[in-house]
Amino acid sequence: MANYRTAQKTDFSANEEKRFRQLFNQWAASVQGYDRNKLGNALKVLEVWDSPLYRGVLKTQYDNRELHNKHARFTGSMSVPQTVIRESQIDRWSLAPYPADFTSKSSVVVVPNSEHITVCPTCSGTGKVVCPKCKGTGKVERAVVTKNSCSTCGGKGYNIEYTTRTVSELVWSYTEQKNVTRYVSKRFENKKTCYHCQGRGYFEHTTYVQDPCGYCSRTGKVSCDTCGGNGKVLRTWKMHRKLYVKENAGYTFPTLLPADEAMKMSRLFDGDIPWKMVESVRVDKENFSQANLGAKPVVGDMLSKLPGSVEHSQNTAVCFSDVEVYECEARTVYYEVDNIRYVCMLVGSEWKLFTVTSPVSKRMDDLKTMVNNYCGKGQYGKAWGVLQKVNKYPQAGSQEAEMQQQLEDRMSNVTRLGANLTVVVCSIFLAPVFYMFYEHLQFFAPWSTWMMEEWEMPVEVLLFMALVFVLFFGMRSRKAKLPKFSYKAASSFSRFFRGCMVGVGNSIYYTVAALLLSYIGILQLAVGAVMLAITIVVVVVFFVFAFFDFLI
Amino acid sequence: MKKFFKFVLLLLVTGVLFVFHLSRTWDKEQTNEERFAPVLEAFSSAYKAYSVSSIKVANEKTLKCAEELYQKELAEGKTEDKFEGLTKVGYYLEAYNECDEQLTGADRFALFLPLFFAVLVIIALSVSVKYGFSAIGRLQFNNDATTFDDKK
Repeated sequence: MANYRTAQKTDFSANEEKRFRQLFNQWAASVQGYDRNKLGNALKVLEVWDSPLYRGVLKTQYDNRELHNKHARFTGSMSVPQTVIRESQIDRWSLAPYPADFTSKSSVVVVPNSEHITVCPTCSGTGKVVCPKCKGTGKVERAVVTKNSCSTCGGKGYNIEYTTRTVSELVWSYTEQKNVTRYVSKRFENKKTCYHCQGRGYFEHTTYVQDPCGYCSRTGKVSCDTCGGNGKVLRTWKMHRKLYVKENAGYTFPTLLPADEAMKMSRLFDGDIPWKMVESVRVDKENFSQANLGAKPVVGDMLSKLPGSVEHSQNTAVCFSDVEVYECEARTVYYEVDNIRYVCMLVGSEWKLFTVTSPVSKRMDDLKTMVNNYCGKGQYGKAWGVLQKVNKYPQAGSQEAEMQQQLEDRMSNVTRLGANLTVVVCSIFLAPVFYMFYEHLQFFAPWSTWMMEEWEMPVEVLLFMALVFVLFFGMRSRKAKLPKFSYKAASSFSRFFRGCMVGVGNSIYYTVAALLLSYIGILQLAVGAVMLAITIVVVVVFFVFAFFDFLI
Repeated sequence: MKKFFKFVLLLLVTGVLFVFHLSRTWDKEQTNEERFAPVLEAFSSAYKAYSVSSIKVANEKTLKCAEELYQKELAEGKTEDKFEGLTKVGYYLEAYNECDEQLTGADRFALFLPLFFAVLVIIALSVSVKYGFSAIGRLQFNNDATTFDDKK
């Protein structure tokens, strides 16, 4: 019988305590966002307990057996005993013994005396099936394309048109002894594409002829592929067998630890924990009650829950299970920091430190409470400032990151307000700048000036369009477009001021862009398009009203 | 950084075009003082237009010109309508476009400003209301202050 130990109070030797404090200092220094690096030196060790950990593993061998009825070609005339025909006649569990050791493999077992001859299901015993090529008709259709020459153009694809025109030409006049102009009628040939055949010269005509089917030699039937033409097949029952192993584990933690924290610890275990096997019990099939697992001291409760994890599915049997118990030496240490009691575990001989509860987690809890309080009062800037610190901790999760995102979205609204109002105010001061460039400096390319003159575009309209451009594009500050420094500030005044700076920058940027666009002529084109759109709308509205007026 | 480089490039291109435009349009025999003085004057008078008195003066000039145009057309028999309502508006716009002797560039700019300011006020109000309402509403979080992320 294995020796299962409960927790026993012990103490650190001087070296052990020194080692423990060094370990704690290293751990505190590794926590991002936590500023007490020498926490190991500051803590006070209250109690030390020798409290081993136990791990129970239930390893189960499963045997899945499924029956299938297969058929194959049968040739010859061998006499086959037919004793097993129906599935109900087969006891699959007696066909092969259970494995003695843990095995994972697949195999196929032929059920003895299950071979029997039956009529082929495909051809119903005739040995022949309908020919797939001619569908049983014995004939296949073939398309024949013939070309008939176009009667209009005679196959040339064009027709010649003759036209007679009077043309002037110079000819030598013997009487006048010089070149004189004479008018003569001349005949010209003109090739015109034949309208009848569209220039092809022929017409295609498709006819279909029936040829005898070569695949079935005009019989309409071919030999059955399933039975090979003899109308019979050999049926056999086969058992497909799959052997596989599954494991489930449970843990027993010292009762010194808070129960909810103990369960979280098991998720932190990786392959580095030095487990030593203490006991192994083989259980035949599912006879767990015979093993009396629940009666074992210390680990009995954990072991009694393991059989609940055994799976049950159709055509699957549990062959046997091994219940293995492992032990790992560990110490539970109670310590105090700032008059608050905490607990940690040192696991294995190498002392792997697990801080079950710690000032770090308490600090994080305090910060989270602060965040929630600020959010409750609507002080989102301050809440964000504290949440920044929370998200530096490795324990911070996706919920905290999502919360920070939501807060930044809200905070960016103040920045956007500052940016947009600044763009509006800046446009007041920019109007004379545009006016100076357009009215006095005439800052347009030659083709832009031509456009404005042709369309009689007043400068004020272009000035208005330029200001609309600056306002529209300068005010499109989505949070993604804002620089991060502008909204990542706890104070709302600071965010508003930074937003104003962004607004000034946007105004200058889009002013220069508007001047360039108006120089090139793009703004003028936009004005033209808007005027055209307005004209169309006015005309349509006018006609609609006139139509209704006419109806009434 | 990307936007900064884009801005520098934009500024360079516009600057080069501007210098090229000035070299093309300015008289080579003029001195710098003769070139810049009218521009600065126009610039300062445009800012001077930002006053109620300038807008009033420009408005009166335009109205006077509009009335003159109306009287002229009335005398020629081209119109029989009274100088009020839409007729007045029509002559006002005609005077704005055609009375080059009475109205200076600064006057035209001053007349443009009220409409511009009205549009700006509407935009400023709508922006403030939009962001003001979004700042009032409470944020809802699904967060437990004592919850740890189980994976860490």
